[in-house]
Amino acid sequence: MNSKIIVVSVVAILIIAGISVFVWSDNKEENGGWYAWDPTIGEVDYTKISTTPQIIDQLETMYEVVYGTLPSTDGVTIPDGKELQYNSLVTKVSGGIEVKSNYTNSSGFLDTKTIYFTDSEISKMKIISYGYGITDSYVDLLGATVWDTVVAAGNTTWDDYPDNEMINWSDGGSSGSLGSEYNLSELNLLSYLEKAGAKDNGNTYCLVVWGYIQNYDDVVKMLFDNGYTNVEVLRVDYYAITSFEYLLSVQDLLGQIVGIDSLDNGVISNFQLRYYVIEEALESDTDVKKVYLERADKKSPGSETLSQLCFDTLKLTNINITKGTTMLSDEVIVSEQPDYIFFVKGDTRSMDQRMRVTV
Amino acid sequence: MSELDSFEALKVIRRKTFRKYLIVTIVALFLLVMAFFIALKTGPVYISFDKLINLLFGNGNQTDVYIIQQIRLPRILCCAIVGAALSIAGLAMQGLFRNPMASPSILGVSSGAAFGAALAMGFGIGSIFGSYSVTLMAFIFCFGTTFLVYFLARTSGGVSMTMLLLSGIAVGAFFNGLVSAIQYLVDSSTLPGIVYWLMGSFASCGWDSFKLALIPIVIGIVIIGFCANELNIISLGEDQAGTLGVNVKKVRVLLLIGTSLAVAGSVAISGIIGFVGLIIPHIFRMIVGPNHKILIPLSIIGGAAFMIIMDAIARWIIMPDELPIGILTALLGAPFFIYVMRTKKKYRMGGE
Repeated sequence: MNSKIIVVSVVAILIIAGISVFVWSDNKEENGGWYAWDPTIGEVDYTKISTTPQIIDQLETMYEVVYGTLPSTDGVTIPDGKELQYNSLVTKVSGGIEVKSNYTNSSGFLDTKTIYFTDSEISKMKIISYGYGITDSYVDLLGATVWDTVVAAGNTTWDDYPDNEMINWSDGGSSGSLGSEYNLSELNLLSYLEKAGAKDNGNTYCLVVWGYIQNYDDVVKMLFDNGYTNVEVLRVDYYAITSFEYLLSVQDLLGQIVGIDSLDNGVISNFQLRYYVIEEALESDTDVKKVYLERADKKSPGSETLSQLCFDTLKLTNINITKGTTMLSDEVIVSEQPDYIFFVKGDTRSMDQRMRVTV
Repeated sequence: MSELDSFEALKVIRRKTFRKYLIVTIVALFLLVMAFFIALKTGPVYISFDKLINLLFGNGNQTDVYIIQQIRLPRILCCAIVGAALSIAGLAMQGLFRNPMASPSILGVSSGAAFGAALAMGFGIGSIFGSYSVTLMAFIFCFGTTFLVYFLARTSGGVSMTMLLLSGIAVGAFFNGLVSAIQYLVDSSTLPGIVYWLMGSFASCGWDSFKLALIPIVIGIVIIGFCANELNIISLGEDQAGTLGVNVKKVRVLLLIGTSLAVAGSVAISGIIGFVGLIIPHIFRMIVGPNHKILIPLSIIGGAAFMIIMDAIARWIIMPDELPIGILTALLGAPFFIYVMRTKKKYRMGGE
C-alpha cells in the first residue's frame, strides 16, 4: 500500500466532502421544524406534576400558557357543593380516629391493618415521612406535602424537631426492609428517634411510609424491640393517587393524624379554591385544543397519567393517546400539529433541538 | 496432474468464486434497496406506496412531504451510514485482533463516547458547541479514547494486540463506571435523557445528524477499505505479515484511526448500538469467505441494510411508540447470529 496514495485520497475526500457540505448547506433553507404550524410553547416543572398538592402550581402554569392571566382567588368563595369533593380515609370513632393501612404480611400477601389513634395521641403527634424505592427528589416532594399540611394549619408542635431533614428520607437503593438486618434505613430511624428523645418526650409518632414496604411486621417488631411503643407505622400508597380527589383524601388523612380537622386543612382548602377558579373560568369553553408535552428523553405522558389530569381540567386534547408515558413518533406530532407544546424544566436541549429545527 | 489441468482448474474456480461474489453482492444491493423503500413506507402516519416517489421529490400534501423528506429520509440515510460504519469497524477489529469476538466496542470507544455524551447532558460540559454539544462530546471522547487505549497499551517492546485488547477492556470498564456515576449524580429530570441515549436510537436523527456523521464515517470507511489487502495478510499472523512486507505498526494505527472515526461518527448521532459490528461481518464471512477485499464492500452494504431494517422494526413494533434500536439489535441480533453459526458448517476466520 502506498502511503502517498492514502494521503492524497484522504485530502481529496476531505476537500470534496467539504465542498459538498458547503454547497449543500448553502442551498438548503432552514427547516423551521415544528414552528411551521406556529404552536404556543410553554414550560412546566415536570417533577412537580406529582401526587402532591404542588401539582396545582403546574396546572396554573399550563393555564396561563393556554388561556392567559390566571383568574384571581381574592375574595372568591366556593359555592356549596361546587368544591372538589373527596372521600375521607379516616373514620371518626369514640375517643379518636381509625385509619386503614395496607401492608405486605409475612406470607407476602397484601393485607390491611386498622390503626387507631386516640385524641390524646393525636394532640402530641409527629409524622415521620419515609419513602422507599423512589427518587430522593420525589421523597422531598412527599415530605414537603407532610410539612405543608402541618405548617399550613399552624401546628406548632413541629418547632422542636431537632433536624428537619431527619423527618424525611428515602432508601432508593436498599432492599426496602426496615427489618432486623440493621441496615442504613433502620439506623436512620432509630437514631432519629433517639436524637428526638422519642421514648421520653411524651410525643406520639406516625411513620408514614410512602408506597411499598417489604417487611412491615419486622419494622413494627423492630420498633417494639427497641422500646418505641409510641411509634405507629402507616403505609400510604402514593402511586394510587390518580385523581385530584384522592390526592385531597391523602392530605386529609395526614391532617387528621396530627389533629387538623378536614374543614381546617389549609392545604385542602387552598387546592380546592385554586382548582375551582380554573374550573369556573373554563366552564363554557368548548374549543378543541390539542396539546403535547415532551420530557427531556422525548417521552410524553399519555392517558392515565397525572399530566392527563391537568389536560382534562384545562380542556386540552392530548395528542398522545397511549397509556402511560411513552415516546411518540415525530410523524404523529407533525401530523397532529398540536396547538400547545410543553417542554420540561431541566431539559438541556436547545429550543431549536426541541422544536426539531434543522439547517 | 499436468500444469495445464491445474491452471484450467484454477480458472474455473476463480470464475465460480467471482460468480458467487457477484450474486451475493447483487442480492445484498437488492436487499438494501428493498430495505430503503420498506423503511420509507414504515411509520405511524400512513403513506401509500404509490405516493412515496412523488413525496420524495416534494410533490404532494405538505405534511406528508415533510414526514418523508425531513423525518424518514434523513433517518434512513443515518441508519445506512451508521450500519455501514459499525459493520466495517467490526470487520476491521476482527481482522486486526484475529479474534472473532472483536467488535467496535472492544477498544472501549463506545464507553468513552457514552461518557462524553453523559457529561454534556448531565453537566452541560461542552456547551460551547451549542446544539451539538452532546454529539460533539460523544465524538471527541470516542476518538480520544482510542488514543488513550493505544498509549496505555504501549510498552518498551511496542504495542501488542493482547495489550491493546486488555487496555481497551480496562478503559471501557472505567468509562462505564464513570457513566454510572453520572447517572447516579444527575437530577432526576436529566437522567431519563441519558439512559435513553445509552440505549441507542435514531429518533433524533435528521439532516443535521446525517451531515455531521457523514464525513468522519466516510473517511473511516475509506481508511479501512485501503487496508483490505493488509488485513488479509495480517490474518496469517503479524510475524508472517511482517515478513511479507506489511508494515504492521502503520496498518494497526491506520485501522485504529479508521475504526475510531467510523465509530465516533456513528455513536455521535445514534448513541450506543451493539451487535452490528459483530454479526454482519460474520454473516458475510460465512457466505463468501475471509477475503477482506470482498468482505469490506459487502459489510458496508449488509450493515446499511441491516440497520435500516432494524430501525424500521423499532418504529413499527410498538407503533406509535418507538423502541430504542440498541435493544432491538441485541434482542434480535444475538439469537440470529447463534442460529446462523449453528446452521453453517463451513466457517473460517482466515489464516485457518
